[in-house]
Amino acid sequence: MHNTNKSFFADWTNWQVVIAMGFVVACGLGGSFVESDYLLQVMVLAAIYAAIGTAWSIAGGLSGLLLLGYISFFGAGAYLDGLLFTRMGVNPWLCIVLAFFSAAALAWLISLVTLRFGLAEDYFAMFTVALSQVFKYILLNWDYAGGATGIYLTVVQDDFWTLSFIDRKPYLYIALVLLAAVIMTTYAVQKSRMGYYLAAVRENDQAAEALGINVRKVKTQAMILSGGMAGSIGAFYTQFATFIDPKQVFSLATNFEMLLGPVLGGRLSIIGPVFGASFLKPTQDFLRGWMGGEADAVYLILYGAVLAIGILLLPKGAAHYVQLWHRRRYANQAQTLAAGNTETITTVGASK
Amino acid sequence: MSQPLLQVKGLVKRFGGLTAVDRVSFEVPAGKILGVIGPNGSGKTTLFANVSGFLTPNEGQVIFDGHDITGQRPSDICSLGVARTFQIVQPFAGLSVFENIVTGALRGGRTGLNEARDKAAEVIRLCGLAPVSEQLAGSLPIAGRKRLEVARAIATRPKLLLLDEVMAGLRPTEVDQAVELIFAIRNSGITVILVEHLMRAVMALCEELLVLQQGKLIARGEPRAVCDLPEVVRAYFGESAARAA
Repeated sequence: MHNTNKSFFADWTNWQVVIAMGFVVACGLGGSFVESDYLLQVMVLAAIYAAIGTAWSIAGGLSGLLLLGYISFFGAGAYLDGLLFTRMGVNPWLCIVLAFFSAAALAWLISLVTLRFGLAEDYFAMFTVALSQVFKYILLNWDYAGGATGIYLTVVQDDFWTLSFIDRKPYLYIALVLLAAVIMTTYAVQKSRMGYYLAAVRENDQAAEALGINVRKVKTQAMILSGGMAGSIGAFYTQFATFIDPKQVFSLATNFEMLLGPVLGGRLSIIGPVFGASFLKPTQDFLRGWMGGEADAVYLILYGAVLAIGILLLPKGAAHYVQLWHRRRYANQAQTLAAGNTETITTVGASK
Repeated sequence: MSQPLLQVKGLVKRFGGLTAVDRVSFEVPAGKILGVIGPNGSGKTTLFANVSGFLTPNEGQVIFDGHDITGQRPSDICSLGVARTFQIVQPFAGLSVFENIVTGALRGGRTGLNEARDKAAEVIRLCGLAPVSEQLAGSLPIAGRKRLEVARAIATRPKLLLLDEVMAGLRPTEVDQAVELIFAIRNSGITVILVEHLMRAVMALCEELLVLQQGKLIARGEPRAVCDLPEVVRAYFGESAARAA
C-alpha cells in the first residue's frame, strides 16, 4: 500500500540514521589508529557533544520546546555520578543508568511546573536557563558535593568494571556507543507514533489537541527523554574528565556551545546534531589549541565569526539543504509509486 | 426515540462583559446534518469551541454520547468521538498531506501506526486528496487545505464532526464537491454539525437549522421554514426587511 513500496533510503529518517550510524562506526575504526592523546580527547568531547546535541533535539527540536537551559540535566547527571561514585562507591555503569532516571525525573518536574503554569516560548526558555544557574549556585555552596572545588576522581588502573582507563581510547569507544544509543533512540522516536505527535505538537498545538493528542503529555515525554539522556551523558563525562566543578558542568557558555551543533546542523534532523557537533567542537578545540596562549581571545573571535556567518547562511540548519537534495533525489520514485505505475519504477531503477 | 448524540444544556460563555453564547440549549440526534447560521459575531464559533473543549463554558452542560464533556480537555473530547475543523485552517504545514492525515488517524494513540496508515489512505481516497498526498500541506491552495482539514478530522473516526466554515472561500464547483463530500461523510455514519455562511450549501445539506443572534438561539427547525421566520430575516437584514417580509 502507501509508502510500503518505497525503497528504504527514500525515507529521509532511514537515510539519515544509516549515514549517522555509518559515521559513528567510521569514527570508531578511525579512532583505533589514533595514538595522540590530545586527538583522542578532542574526539571523545566531540562524541559527547554530538550525543548531547542529538538528545536535545527531541525536546528542543522535534517537540518545538524552546529548551535553552539544557545543561541542568547534563550537570545533574555529572554530579550524580561524581557523588555516588566517590562518596558511596556506586558502580559507574549503574550511575549512568541512575543518572538517566534522575535527570528524567528532573525533566518531569520542570515540565510539570512550566507546562502547568503555561510557561511557553521565551518564558519557558528563560526559566530553564535561570534554573541551570540556580543549580550551579546550590552546588557552589554545598560542601558535601565539594563546593566550588568540585569533585576529583582518581584513576589508578585500567578497569572496565569501574569505567576507568589510563588510556583515552576506551573512552572513545564508550562515548561512541552512547552516541549510537542516542541516535537509535531518536530514530525510534521519529519512526513511531511519538514522531507524529511531536511533529503535530511542534507544527500546531491547537490542531494537535483537536486530533486527540494531549499536547502537555507529549511535551513532557519529550522533556523526560531528552533530559534523561543528557543525565547519562553527564555521568559518563564525569568518569571521562575525572574532575567536575559547578562552574564547568553548569556553565552557560558550555550550555550554548552544546546547542550550537544541533541549531546550525538542523534541529529537526538526526544528521544535523551529529555532524554539527562533530564539526564545531573539534574546530573550536583546534582553534583554541593553535591560537591559545599568546592570544587567548582570538580563537573565540574566530569561532564567533564562524557561528554568526553559519546562522545567517543556514537559518534552517545545514541538514535542511541535505533534505531538499534527498527529496529531489527520490522524488521520481515517490511520485510513480503514488500513481501505482510499476513500469516507470523499473526505468527509474535502471537509470541509477 | 433513543438518546440524542449531543445535548447542549443552557450553555453560557462570557468574555468579560460580553456574553458570546447566552443560554443555548439544543440536541442533535445521531445521523443528522445540522446547520448553525447567524450573522458575524453571533457566537457560532464560540459555541463550537465550548463543545469541543477549547473553551470552558461559564454555565451549562455539554453531554456527548452519555458522557458529560463540559470543560474537558480537547484531546479527551476527541477521544470520545468529537472531531472539529478550524475556521482558519490549521494544517501541519511542514508535514505531507499523508502525514497530516496519519496524525489524525492515530487517534491519540488508540490506533497502531500500520492501521493508521491504511485508514489515512482510505480517507485520502474519500476526500479526493490522492494526487497531492505527498505534497507538503503548507503548499496546498485554500480548497486543498479545507479538504485536508476535513480529512484529518474524519481520520479520527468521530461520531460527531463539527465543521466550521469549511466552504468559505471556495469556488462554486469546489462547493459542490464539498457538499458531496459532506453527504458521503454523513452516509458513512458520522453526525455533522456545520457552521456556514454559504446559504446554498446550507439549504442543500441540512435537515435542521439553528439560528444564533448575539449569542442567543433565536430559531430552530426545518431550513426553509426557519429562513422565512421574521426574527431570522430581522437578524440578517434589519427591521425594515422583516416588516416587508
